Amino acid sequence: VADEPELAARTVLRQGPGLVVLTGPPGCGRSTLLRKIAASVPGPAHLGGGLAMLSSVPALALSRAVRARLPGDDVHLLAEAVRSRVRGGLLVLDDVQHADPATLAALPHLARSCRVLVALRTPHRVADDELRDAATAWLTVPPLEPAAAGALARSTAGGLDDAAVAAVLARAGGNPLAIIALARQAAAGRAPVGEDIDQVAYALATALADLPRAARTALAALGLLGRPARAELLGTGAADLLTAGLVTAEPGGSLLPVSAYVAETAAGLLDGPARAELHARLAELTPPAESARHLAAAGDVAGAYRRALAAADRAAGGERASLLLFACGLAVPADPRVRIAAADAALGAGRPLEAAAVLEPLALVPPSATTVALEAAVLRGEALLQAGHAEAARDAVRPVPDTAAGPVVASRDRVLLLAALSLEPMSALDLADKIAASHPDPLPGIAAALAAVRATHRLPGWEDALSEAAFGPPAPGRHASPGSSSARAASSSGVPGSARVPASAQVAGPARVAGPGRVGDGPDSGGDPLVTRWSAWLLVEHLAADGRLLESAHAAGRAAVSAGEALAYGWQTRFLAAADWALALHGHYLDLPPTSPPGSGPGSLPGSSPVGETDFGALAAAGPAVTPPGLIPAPGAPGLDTSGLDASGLDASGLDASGLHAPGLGAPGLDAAGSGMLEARQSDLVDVDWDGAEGVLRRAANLTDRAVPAEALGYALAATALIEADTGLLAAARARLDRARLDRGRLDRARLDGGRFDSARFDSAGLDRAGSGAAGPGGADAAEADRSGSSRGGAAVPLHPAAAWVARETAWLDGQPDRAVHASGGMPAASGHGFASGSASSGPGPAGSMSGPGPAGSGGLLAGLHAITGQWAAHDLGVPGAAEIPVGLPGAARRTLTAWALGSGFGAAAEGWRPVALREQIRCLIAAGLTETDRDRAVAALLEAERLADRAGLTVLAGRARRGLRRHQIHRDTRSPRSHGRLTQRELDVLRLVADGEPTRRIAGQLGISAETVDTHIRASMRKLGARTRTEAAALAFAAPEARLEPFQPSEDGR
Amino acid sequence: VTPQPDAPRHVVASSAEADTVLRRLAREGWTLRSGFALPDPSWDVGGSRLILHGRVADDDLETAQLAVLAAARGAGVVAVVDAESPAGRALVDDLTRLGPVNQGADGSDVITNLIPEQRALLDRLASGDTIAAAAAAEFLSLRTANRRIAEARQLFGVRTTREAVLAYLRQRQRQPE
Repeated sequence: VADEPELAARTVLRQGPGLVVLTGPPGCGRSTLLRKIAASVPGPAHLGGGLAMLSSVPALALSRAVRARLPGDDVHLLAEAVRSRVRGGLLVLDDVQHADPATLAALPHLARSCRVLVALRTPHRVADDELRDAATAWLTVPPLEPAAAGALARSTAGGLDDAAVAAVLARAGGNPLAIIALARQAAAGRAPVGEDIDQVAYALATALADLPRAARTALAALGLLGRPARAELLGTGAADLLTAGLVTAEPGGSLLPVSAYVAETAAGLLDGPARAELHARLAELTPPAESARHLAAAGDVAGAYRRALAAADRAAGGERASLLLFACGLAVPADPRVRIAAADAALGAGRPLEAAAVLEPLALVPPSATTVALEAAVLRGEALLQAGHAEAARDAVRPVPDTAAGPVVASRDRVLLLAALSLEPMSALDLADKIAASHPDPLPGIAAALAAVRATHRLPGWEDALSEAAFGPPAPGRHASPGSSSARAASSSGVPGSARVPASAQVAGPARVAGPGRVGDGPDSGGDPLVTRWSAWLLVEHLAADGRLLESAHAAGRAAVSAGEALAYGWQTRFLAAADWALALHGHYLDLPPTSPPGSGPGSLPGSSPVGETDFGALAAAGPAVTPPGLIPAPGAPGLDTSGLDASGLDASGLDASGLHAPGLGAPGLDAAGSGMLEARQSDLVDVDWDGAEGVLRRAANLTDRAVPAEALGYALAATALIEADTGLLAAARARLDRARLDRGRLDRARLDGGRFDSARFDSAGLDRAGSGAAGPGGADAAEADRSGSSRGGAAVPLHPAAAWVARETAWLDGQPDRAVHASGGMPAASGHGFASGSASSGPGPAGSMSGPGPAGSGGLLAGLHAITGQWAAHDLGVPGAAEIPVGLPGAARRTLTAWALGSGFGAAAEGWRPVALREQIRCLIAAGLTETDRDRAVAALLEAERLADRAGLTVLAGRARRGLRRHQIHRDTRSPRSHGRLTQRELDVLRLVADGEPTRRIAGQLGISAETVDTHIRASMRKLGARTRTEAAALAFAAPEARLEPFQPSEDGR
Repeated sequence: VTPQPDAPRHVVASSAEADTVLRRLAREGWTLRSGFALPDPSWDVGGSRLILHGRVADDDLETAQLAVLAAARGAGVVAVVDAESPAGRALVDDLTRLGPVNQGADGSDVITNLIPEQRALLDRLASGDTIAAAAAAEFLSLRTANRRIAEARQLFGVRTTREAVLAYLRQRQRQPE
């Protein structure tokens, strides 16, 4: 860190008498650097320095250094007294900004005969001319580089995950003090760590008090803006800020605070009226969208309302929705037309709850049935439907008379039909016939609703109908909808994704320009984006429910692209998460590092003959799942090649034009999510392939703590936790699921509070972040509120259906079958989940028979997986499993459950899973191995399971397979060469987990070995270390100064 | 650099806490003196193992200055002050310039908040005693020992005793006392 000033200072100080001044803003690491240099320069160092409260005590800073009373009234005597004590040593003075006048006057004299090193904070009120003249070197301590900043945050708080570290760095910038304080605070979620943060804020505040007034205001303005700003906007103080090192100039000329946290602190130092005044002034100088928020913060709600509407006219997608919702949330009467437009935009952005809430004041009262009111009623019905409140939706549209305008009636019928589909699936069929008859030439909305009914009842051709509603009619020369069999053929034969490019690639540019509102509809549709997206969602979930995971992922990816192009990030995250989930469950593209089986060297597999390398090859050639990665049907980003990307308006200029990149603008959480997502996708789009487990984890980290739809969070959680659990990170998966239960409770509560979750979020975390931090500790209270919220929300809330199964599966993988044997959270294994609407449907077909674009995926496949996990748990517990098999399961799940019921037929079931889900295929093979009576065939199945699991990196399942193999006396020779008393790598692995407090069972799961082996490793390491307890062994290995971390012969250890 | 070991600096919220700290310091051989004025002729009192203690009122910057001056001259200080008051903030700010400051029952430095019994127990656990053996060796009942260890776990913010032992060892290593 800070190599340059350090080297320069050392060079000067080695050469003899001289004065080196280190300078920099508060918290930049001056003192640390000072000590480092003092320690590295030869000769005794005399450390002293100024103290803020004693800045008038004569010669105090020097007295501290020489530990003696000094004559403070005569500069020459003083200098001589100090010189005689320091002699050839090094005089080091910190905090010279607090030094007394006598010390300051003596320094130039001392510099002639002694080596002097001092640190001076900027800003300061010291008259530094003499110091400058006397200084041999005047060095500025630079801000930390991002890499060094990250390292500092991590070493301060080791337990922080990547997302938390990124958040800390974003706020702290390159300021070490802020990094340390914020990282500690972020880590304090676990244990109370006191109020360092307030003390840090105090130190910053005292430093900022030394700034000239104009500079202080400019820094406060930067804090309120929350983004870089041009110097003109900041007024005359900008130059002082640059000199003090508190801001840096961006390449474009904008000024950027070195540490956002310091700027926030400056804003927090303003009192209420001053802040309002500053907001008002910023409102005059910023573009409309930003200006509206400033006006609101300044107390001018009417002006804010007008400004927000003006800004909304120029925005699109989620940005427009945020602005309109913001305008309607202000304490002024909003025009009904504005409310409708807000609801429309919110729906388009995938925020139905807010859409319904914003229309609430326009509820339809029969006599006042104006056109506007009717329109609002059907729109509210649509929003409620999408939010999963089918009954409320039906009630909302019921008063709409048949005499209303055609489109309104059509919308009403659509809501009625879909509500019926959700509430009484069987009667919906009749209603569908009636509605089809009364709309001979159905509008897209009606057509989509009819398609939904077909899909729910799995009438032949439903995929095509739904796909057409989602993506428009199949274009000639293009393969048909992703659901159709021809698409499947295409994917299995490995047609490159680019074959389908044209239609989906060309859109975004013109679409963005087309104007506000329903801008940039799906590329292929030309229809109402609400209808198309919602249909696409249904398609995705229905396909997943049928176990057609690749097709589901494909459809989701395609819909995500078009949602992203229309800047509908809510929908985009949702589709991306659904695609991630489908592919994570599918398991063939996870790209996990393979785990090598223990002792996989030659000769250590005594029974390996039945399944040889040839089988491996044969397997790789079969089924769509194993197409070589370059040729797979681009599940993440179907049919987009690089040229399409360029045309797609994702380029930065387009974004800037729409004002999306200014973080201070919309709800900042959303913006960050949006642009972060965009960047993530941008790289992904170039890479046609899905980015596997790593991508899932990265996206999940992006989603945490952002205002994204619950559906997206649910699927992202399920995908992430499943990957973690399968790869042995069971504690992590469990913690993630537990946390989500709490968060969901919190979220639901927040949503219930008037459905204005997002705007509330804006108020606390957004622009007004600085305002709320006014009391001093910056935005600390937002985090504080979050934390108290999570502790308050102690009640566990049912998880998203996919996550609920993953929770159960994790318990089973974790060796706790008792917790997995029954579906938890009141979730009957075989039915839906009551997640969106009343869907505990006992109707035919998969339980996903409901309308809201929530739940369809919860039925078939998940019900089957629930039942299979239940069987396994029962098997592990030695009790009989549930006899009944849920209806409407995908073939593979049905065959598996039948096999469980009969006790045979797992081989065929495993075949059935092969194109569907790798991990389930492996599970079936293990089941085959455990139930098969013929030893050779059992061993063959288990070996294949082991091989597949190892290759895919699924440690826990691999461990299960090996456990089965041991029953047949097939043991892996896992012994390392004689280690002569030193720890082997494996023993270290185990001990590390012991030190982390993990129980044996979980260590076994994590490493894919048996609990007995874990015990053996621990015993061996205890013997080698001479430890009497496990704790002592862990202490000796990891906490003793002479830690013996060098494992024995790591290269020959086989791992 | 400094010839003597650094004198302790404590900022606590109540007299009761101050008493606990002072009792421990007295046991460790420090000389306690009430009030922050330091009339001693020599500027540096670092060699005399002196602790000055007293209360600093919320706005009493003069007393805070005296405390800082005493600390700068090498005396230990134990100040009873509201750390969020103006005087408290300024006091902590300046004392921090002199070296580490122990603040009440919190602070990231858990180890200083452990009572000697807890340290002894953790030391014994680290060197391979069982909880029962450690309790017997420290003349504690098993129940008390378990309670002490549970408190330590809470202070470190960990779930298991083993993690607490390791956290203790790591912290002790980082800042040898």
